[in-house]
Amino acid sequence: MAAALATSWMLSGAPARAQVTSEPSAVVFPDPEKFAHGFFTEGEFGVLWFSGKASAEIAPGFAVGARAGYDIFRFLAVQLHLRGSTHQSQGDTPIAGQLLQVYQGTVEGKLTLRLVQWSFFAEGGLGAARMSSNLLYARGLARYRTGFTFGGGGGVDYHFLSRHFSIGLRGDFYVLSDVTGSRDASTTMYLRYTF
Amino acid sequence: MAKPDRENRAALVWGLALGATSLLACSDLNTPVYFQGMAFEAQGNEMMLPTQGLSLRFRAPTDKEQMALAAERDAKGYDMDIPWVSRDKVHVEVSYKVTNLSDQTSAFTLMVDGASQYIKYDTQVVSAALQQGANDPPTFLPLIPLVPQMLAPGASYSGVVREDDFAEGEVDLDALGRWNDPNPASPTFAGVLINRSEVPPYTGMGLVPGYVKNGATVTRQNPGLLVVPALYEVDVRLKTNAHMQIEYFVRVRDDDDRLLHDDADRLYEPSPTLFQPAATM
Repeated sequence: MAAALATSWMLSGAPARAQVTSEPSAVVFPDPEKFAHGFFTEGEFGVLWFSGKASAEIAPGFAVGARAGYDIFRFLAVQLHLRGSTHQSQGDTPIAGQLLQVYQGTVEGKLTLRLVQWSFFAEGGLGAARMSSNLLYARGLARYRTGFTFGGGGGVDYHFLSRHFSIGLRGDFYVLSDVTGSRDASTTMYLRYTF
Repeated sequence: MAKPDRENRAALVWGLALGATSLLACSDLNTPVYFQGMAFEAQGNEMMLPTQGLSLRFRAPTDKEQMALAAERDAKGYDMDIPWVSRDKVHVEVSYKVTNLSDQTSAFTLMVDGASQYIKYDTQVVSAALQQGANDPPTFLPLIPLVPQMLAPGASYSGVVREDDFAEGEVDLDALGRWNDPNPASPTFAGVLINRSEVPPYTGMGLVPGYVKNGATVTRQNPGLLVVPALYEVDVRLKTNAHMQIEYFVRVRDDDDRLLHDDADRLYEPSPTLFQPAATM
């Protein structure tokens, strides 16, 4: 009896110091807030092809590139993009089968929508494109080897459980102002490291 | 949260690899310049073969470059000036397409001649010199011969006269320019054109630097001595037995940026001597 009274006294006498006032939120794993953001680099490879008049003259080719950028916010970034691709001339012309490289450098903005480990993004920018030779000039399609370019694209990104690494797939489309009536498009896979 | 060293290293390696790739891509590894030649037609069986030429425009060497050429000549102990348009700096190639415009299957032969800064070779002139009688069929000995091809009516053939074909033609032209041997028992210029210059018995190469002539025998003793003038003029000739058309491009790899790009530079204007075989001299 004495023990029961003592227990009753101990349980009822203590003041309430903390209370759960709402239901705990559902656990999100992995927590996207724990993914690194800020300065990042990307390396990419894929295929680049021409559309418009140049597509009859230049075959699709292998592309390799790199990006370096900074996440201003988690949904907005700016980035510098360098890319080179190699192609072969084609068609019923005397200079079919010649090699041509295309180098592009652009400054881009990028908007991202993140859904846990997945994110979807759209990006666009402007810069310059340079041909390794005057092959398109010789075919009457370009006046200079270097010209202004602008365009954009989008893609999807998958973040690993690592704090820093993700991979993705993107496509883009750029107007080549110096190549008569022509654009280039690419599909690339990339690996991203965020510091 | 501390960043693991392993990830830092991976990022560094990745960044360096990408940087190196980008630098490599931007270093202009493949920068040939293409010049479109004027398309022309052959009606077939002409005595005077239809031809078109294209002269490459080079800039004149600067004073500093001229001094460098003179220093190279002295260092090598070379027997003449080092050519400004030389084979080790200027690499020429021709891409062509021949179309049979007739309604019969016919053959064509493409011939390439040209001129270095010292000497010019013209198949037609040589053919005239070789012709014994007015009614004899002409003999054509081009600087760079190609294998004859058959073409069906309306069909096209695309081909390339490669840099190594030009390299051989250029050393042959250099040898022909030096060749001044009236001895009828000596190898003729045809021997120079027909035989490979780097293969024994080095026919007709006895007067070329790097080769040594001992009586009738020629040996190659210092291959590094010779500085071969490159062709700065390319002449394309079409021999057919039916109506055909040729389109062509000249591709030049210009290692030392000697082609004329800037109007501020002076144009290099060589005046080569026309090669004439002994029969016409």
